[in-house]
Amino acid sequence: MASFTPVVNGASSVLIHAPGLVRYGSKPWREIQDRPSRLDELQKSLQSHEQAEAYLPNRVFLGQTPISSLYEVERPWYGRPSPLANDRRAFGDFIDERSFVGLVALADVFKHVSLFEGFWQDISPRLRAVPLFQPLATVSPSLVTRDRLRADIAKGDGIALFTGTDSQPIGWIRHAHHEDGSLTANVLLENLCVKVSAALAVRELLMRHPALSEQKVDYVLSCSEEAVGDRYQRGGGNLAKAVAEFAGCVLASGMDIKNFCAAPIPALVTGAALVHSGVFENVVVVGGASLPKLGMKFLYHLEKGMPVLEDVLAAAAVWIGRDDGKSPVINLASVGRHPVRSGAALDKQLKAIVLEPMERLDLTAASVDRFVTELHNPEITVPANGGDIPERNYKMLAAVLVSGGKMARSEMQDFMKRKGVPGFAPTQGHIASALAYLPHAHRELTEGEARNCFLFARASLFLGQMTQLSDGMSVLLARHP
Amino acid sequence: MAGTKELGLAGKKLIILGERDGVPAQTIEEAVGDLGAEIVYSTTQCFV
Repeated sequence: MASFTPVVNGASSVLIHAPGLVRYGSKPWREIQDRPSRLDELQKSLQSHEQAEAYLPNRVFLGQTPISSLYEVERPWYGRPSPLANDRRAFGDFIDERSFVGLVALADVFKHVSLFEGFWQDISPRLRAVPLFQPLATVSPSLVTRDRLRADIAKGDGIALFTGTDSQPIGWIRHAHHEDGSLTANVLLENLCVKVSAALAVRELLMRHPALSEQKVDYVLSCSEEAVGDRYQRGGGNLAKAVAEFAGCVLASGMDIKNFCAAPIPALVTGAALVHSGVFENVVVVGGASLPKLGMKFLYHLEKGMPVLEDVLAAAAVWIGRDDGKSPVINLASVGRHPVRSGAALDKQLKAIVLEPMERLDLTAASVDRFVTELHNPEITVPANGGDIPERNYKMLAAVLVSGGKMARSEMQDFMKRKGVPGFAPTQGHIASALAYLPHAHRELTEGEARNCFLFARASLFLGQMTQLSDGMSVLLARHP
Repeated sequence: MAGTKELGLAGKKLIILGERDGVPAQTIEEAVGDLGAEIVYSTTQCFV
């Protein structure tokens, strides 16, 4: 069998400002159904496109601003003007909602989405002119008149689509099947948002790395949070192939890797193993955005008089290929897993997925430059009483490293600042779970000074109520020797 | 077990709410397992 060293040749990320879609996040949807006046409260607290684009964690996510700025700029981070308007967009674009909704209609090959014809007239020139959108905008959506749109909405056979805080609907998505709970308009919209956002991340990857053409992508692994299927097979899957098709990767096939928030790490490991074994030459791992998590903590944000910060959809893509002599190496010998017999407590998880591989590779904390875990933006989670997730993880990790003899107790105090990464990712679990850091990792391990970074993520399997267990996985990326 | 009397859990019914980034329900179950209480509901929540 052939053996090739798998490397991260490149990575991309995109953010989509989606204020009009926040109402279809799981929590806002349930709250608005229960108390319709919530919609008005929600809309009054949404950020404008400019505000969301200037929001420091979003700028860090896209690589426009260094991660260190999160330590330098005092909170609140919202409500501040963009400090560096002309800074480069290193990893991907900040995409407007109107263009995104247009792409959602174009991605809907079964024509469940209809757009108001006037809206399409407004947005189609942009979709066909912007290089990122062009390859995705080669077909036309289903169009309706304003009167027809109103009549469809009145029938109540689906859900209306809005952009921003405009009360006038610009489109409509109907249920695909009246007796299939897996194909309701809400589920279709959720899946289409994943498909489009993931395809945008793949397109950014292709645009920013010309060595990877559409035809060179052999396989796509989606680690997104969704369940594509029907009533006979909920979560049947292969969103990855739908993304490959929409993104124009005509020679690619694909599959989905499911593992709650931790899915990006097993996807990276699987992709690297496929390259290492010679099965495929170029694998793309992609995580699309999670519509249900929009506005997840909006009630806390309203209560505290803050903007609703969970107003962006996030996606990221990673190109795994063969050793090119310069790209960071995915060390398959470093992979850590969380065995069934390990306990569910955080310290036990970290012992399994961090300490054990470090023991195996004879690494100390000093020999790892970055430990990268769940990078949820604390400005979103702290007001919701969820605490600072990265900080809590790093405190426990420091204790585990000390107890495992990998670090001196005196190094615990500033461990996060020296070896960790502060939170900046939207609360879309899989995106926050190390995937958000991949573009940064690629940059740090090629242009920067870092020698390596240790990625790990944890999965709340118990949420699906099939087991009380959690899961987790880890892998080390290293600068090319 | 030391603390049983102080906690006064013997004969009580317990609802356990754990948190994945803090103390999960399974760990709390282990900690109170021999205190004579009946666990009627136990769940771990994920807030992200």
